[in-house]
Amino acid sequence: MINKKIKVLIVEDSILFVTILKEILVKNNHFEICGIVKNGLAATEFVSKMRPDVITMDINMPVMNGYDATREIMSTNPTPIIILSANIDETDINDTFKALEAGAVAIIEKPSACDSPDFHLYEKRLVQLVRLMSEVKVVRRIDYKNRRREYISRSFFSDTEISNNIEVIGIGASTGGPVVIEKILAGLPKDFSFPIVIVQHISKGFTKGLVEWLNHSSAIPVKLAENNETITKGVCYVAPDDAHLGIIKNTLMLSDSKPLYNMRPSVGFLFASLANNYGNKALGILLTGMGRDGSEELKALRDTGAITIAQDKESSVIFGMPGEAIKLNGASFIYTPDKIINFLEGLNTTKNK
Amino acid sequence: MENTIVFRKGDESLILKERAEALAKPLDDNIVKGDIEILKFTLSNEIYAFETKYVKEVLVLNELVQLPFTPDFVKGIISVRGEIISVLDIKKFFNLQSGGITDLNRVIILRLNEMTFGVLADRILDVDNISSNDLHTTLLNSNSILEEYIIGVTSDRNIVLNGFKFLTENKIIVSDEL
Amino acid sequence: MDENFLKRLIETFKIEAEEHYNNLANGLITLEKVKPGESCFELVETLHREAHSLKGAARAVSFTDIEDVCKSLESLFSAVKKDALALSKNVFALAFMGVDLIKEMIYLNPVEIEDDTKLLSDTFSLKVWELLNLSENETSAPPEKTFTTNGDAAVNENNIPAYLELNGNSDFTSAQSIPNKEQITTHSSKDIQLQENIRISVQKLDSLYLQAEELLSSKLAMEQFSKDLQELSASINSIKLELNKSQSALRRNKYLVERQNEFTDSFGRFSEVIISIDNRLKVLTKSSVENTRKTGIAVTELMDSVKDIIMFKFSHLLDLFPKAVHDLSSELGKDVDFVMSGTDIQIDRRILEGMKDPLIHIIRNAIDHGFEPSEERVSNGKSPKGNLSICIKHAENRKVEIKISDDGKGIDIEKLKHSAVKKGLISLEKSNELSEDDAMPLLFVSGTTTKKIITDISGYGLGMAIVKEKVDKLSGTINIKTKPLVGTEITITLPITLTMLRGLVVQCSDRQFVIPSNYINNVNRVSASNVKRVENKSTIILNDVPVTLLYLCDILGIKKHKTTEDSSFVKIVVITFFDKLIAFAVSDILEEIELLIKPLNKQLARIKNISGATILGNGKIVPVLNIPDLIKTTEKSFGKTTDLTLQTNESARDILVVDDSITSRMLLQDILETAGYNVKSASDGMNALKIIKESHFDLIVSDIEMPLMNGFQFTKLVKSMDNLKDVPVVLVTALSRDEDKIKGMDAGANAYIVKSDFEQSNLLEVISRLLQ
Repeated sequence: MINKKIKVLIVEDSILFVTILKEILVKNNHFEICGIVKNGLAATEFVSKMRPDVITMDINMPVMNGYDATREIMSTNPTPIIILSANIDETDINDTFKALEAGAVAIIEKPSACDSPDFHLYEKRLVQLVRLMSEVKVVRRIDYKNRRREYISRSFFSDTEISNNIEVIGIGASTGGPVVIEKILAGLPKDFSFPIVIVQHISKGFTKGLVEWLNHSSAIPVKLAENNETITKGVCYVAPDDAHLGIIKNTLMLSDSKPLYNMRPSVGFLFASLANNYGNKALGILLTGMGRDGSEELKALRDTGAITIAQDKESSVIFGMPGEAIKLNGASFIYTPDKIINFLEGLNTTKNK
Repeated sequence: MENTIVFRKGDESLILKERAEALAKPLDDNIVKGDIEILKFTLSNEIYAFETKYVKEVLVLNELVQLPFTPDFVKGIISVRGEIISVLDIKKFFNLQSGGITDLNRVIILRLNEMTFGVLADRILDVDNISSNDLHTTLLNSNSILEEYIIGVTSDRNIVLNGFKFLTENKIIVSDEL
Repeated sequence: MDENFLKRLIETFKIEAEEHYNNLANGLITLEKVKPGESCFELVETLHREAHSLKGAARAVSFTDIEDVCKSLESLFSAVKKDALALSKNVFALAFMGVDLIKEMIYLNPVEIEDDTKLLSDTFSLKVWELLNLSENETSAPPEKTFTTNGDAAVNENNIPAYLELNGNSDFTSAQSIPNKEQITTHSSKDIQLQENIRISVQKLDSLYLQAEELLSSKLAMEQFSKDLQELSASINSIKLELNKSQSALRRNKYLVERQNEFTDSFGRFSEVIISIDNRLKVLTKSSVENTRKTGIAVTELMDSVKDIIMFKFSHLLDLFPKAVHDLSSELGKDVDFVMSGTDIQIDRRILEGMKDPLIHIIRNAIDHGFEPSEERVSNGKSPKGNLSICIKHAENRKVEIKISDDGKGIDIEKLKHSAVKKGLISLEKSNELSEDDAMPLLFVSGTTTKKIITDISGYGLGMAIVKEKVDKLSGTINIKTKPLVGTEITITLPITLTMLRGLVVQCSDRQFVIPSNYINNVNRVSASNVKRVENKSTIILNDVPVTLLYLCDILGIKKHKTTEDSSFVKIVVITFFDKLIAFAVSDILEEIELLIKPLNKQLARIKNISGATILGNGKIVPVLNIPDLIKTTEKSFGKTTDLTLQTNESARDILVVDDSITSRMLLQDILETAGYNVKSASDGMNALKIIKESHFDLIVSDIEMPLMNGFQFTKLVKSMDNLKDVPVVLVTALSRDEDKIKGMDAGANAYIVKSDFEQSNLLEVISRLLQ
């Protein structure tokens, strides 16, 4: 029995896109369009009077753009916001990721080529995304920058053996991931001496933008992973669109084998590769995200003797992946992003001693 | 939209009923589903047809108002839900002798994009599916003009008219310059 | 995506694209006007955003050509925003080029875009790329800001192609009900309104209007019904009275006393039935009257609301004009300052649509012929820039006045008169007698039609006639005032809505027609004895003035039924047209109605003398007469009644025109008919021969280059036939070589006129001479 329909607010200034979005959403019986507004300001006012279940937000609008609107809404009436980004130029991409920083839960590209036969694939993705995001519980965002970092006691890192052993750090994330990853990378010391390999679930076409965006604030260089590339310490590699990422003998391998948990790139693929080829010489970190991608594999990694970390429930936008891993007992530690930064700092200090 | 046939006045309800019954009959296995759907009608004892995709609706002819300064084949104008539409006598257009008694009390409204007009008919028969193989183009001792406007003749001697040609032909348009 | 949705989507895209285009065009024009030192960041920002948004939208519907142009435009504006590029003439020219490309592409589907346009688009992208990649290295160019619309320089630099020509026939089908530029600039919206303004497709509007009109018919039908009921009631009443009378008569008659009971019973029952019918009728009548009243109010209100929706602001059309003027000025090498006022005034959308071409034409004339080159202006003490303005204001009687003024060199009346004489419209003597004001109408009289194939022949030639025709059609008036060296002022007055028309329903034998009231001077009845016949023309005296009398039935070709017409009186409708009075005799004058002229369907593209049809309250369809047409028709058959007399006043001669080009045939036909001849035409020699066999002609005008049988062969043939050899043949042709002329003479032609100096040569003079 379908109970209530999901109330969607569409924030978009182009009638064309409104028409397309309406068509896609209305066709599907789960949704009810409770409002259509043309700019960020109208969106904030709408949300203060009515509570939609989820918002689709354009970035580029007059009066108030999507990024500012997201900030405003997330600090007054937090609601799941999906950014619909045109994703074609720099300013857009910047604003898109800024919006993620401000608390938007997901991004997806704006529809293009509606007459193409593949369009139904886009429709499916959009519908799925809107449905799933409508269920995410979002909390009021407080400006991260002002929060004090928590510290963990130093004693934890006395085990030099562990830190000397670690050759590669693998991070996997989905919904809510980009912001945490950005935080982590920004918080690393500049002389960070480990290579980091990341699989971040993100809508088609945004990976390059993600890499650029991360580079703005990251302490270490971030690049898109290339096939056969040798990993270097102090560099961060991000899995590209539509390819699995694995590492063997310090060389990155891209694979187009079928999606895992419906995802490609899949976190699970990365962790499995780490478990097989590095065992306890790898560090695995599973961040916020929906679904189960990577949960079992984190456990498998832990079973080889490696240290594994899962993000804690409270700070996760969606606790799916980490939560599942914890249930399977796959996490050595359950940390907040701050604690993760600390842990990595500690690792680094020990290694460089 | 182009494929619906709408009957307007009350006394058509009989025909409607017959039609409904006919449609309700299960398709005979032997009847091959044809390529073309046509609307058949009579005009002085001969059976003609148009492809239904050009037929917008069929009406009973009520009041036909004549217009001066129009060629012979333009019989006049009628109002269809507020829209003024001309009614043509295709036999006059082809300069054929109108032999036999003609009732001419039905109008078939043809439409393609913006071009529309009505064609006079005596009786509307029914809608049929024919295969394009069934259409023969030879025949009528004829009038070459008429042949241009025919798609073909079925084995039942039904003359299937070329709706597209009618609707796109310049000759049919009345355009008088002063 | 299903097909219907895709189609709708593309329609939506086109509407949105047009809006972005308008914003880009107007934004650029405003940007050009910005003075150095003034900030223009917001403007550039807006332009950037518009290009960006259009790009995204184009991408969604796979209009990649537009997307590409927008990409380049966007980078251009982005560079300006960042101060990486200075706003130079070059940049503006490039920007306009891009904007023009967009305009060109908007109305086509991607597959329809021609290769030329694609090539242009590639050139554009390349140029933008070059500019952006080279300007970073350029250190010497100082930033220039202002530009006046001094088109010539910008156009020629760097071989940037000239501005795309204004296409006066471009589609005006997409419409916004209310312009929503305001929405983009407001900075706060206190209330939540999901959408303050909505877009309605024109088809929906028209459909709504049609439905409202049907309702009006219903309302009128209901009124009729109520009336009928009341009449019925009255009839019943009289039956009752009769009954009573019979009853009393019966009682008094003693002979029937025995049967009295029977009769009384019978009558009693009869009475009861009648009374019950009467009662029911009364109830019905009462409720009918009440319903009619309520419906009447509701319908009137609905009609008012709908009429309101149909009203558009002038700006809806005129917003396109600054750009058009800008383009035209550059194209024609003139420097023009353009101002508009009163564009917020509203008018019936259909009238606005009808005025688009005329206004463009008038503007073009002004820029092309009205304005002198800058140097000339300065030496005459005028400002170097020409001033062109369009002012709209309300006029009395629910009318609107459009005034187009320029301070150019005015219209040369002498030249006008001269040209009219040449064209055979007026005799030399008459033209000398004409005062300046009286000569003005000559601008409009060229005898041409609405066909767009025939464009300006020479300056004020045929174009103005088309303008006048359009204005007439919309029931408006046009007036021109001009002063040499000072300027010209054209004033067009139009009704605010088309439906403000009223019409008179007249009976012609067994048929009815409507004459639009705005042409009617008065309606009268004259005694048959007062009708004077001179030759084949009838005249009557009205207010001491002789007025031509025409029988409408005759003109319309309707057979008269002599039945109930009272032959001692003639009912007439007196028409005013162009300061002339004409009386039309009709069988009967019925009623005056509120006239909603419905257009005829496309199959009846244009019928002589008929402008459309209307539906009366009783549902009857009645054709509406086109009075200007009718006048022209009658003038041809019965000779002109104007002050501009003709050269040939005798009974009309018959001329046969032979030419395979439709354009030429029509042109010739027009010229000849205006001069009072009856013209038939044929498209080649063979056809011509057929026609000649059937009817008599006083003269033949023939082209030479024709298929099947050329003019020389045709002439030879004609001259060889006994019954035709005396018919003068005039060859009108493009062939100007001497040997062709000799060939013509050899074939027996009576005259040989070369088409290129057609206007200069006196075709009519030649014909008139030959016919003497």
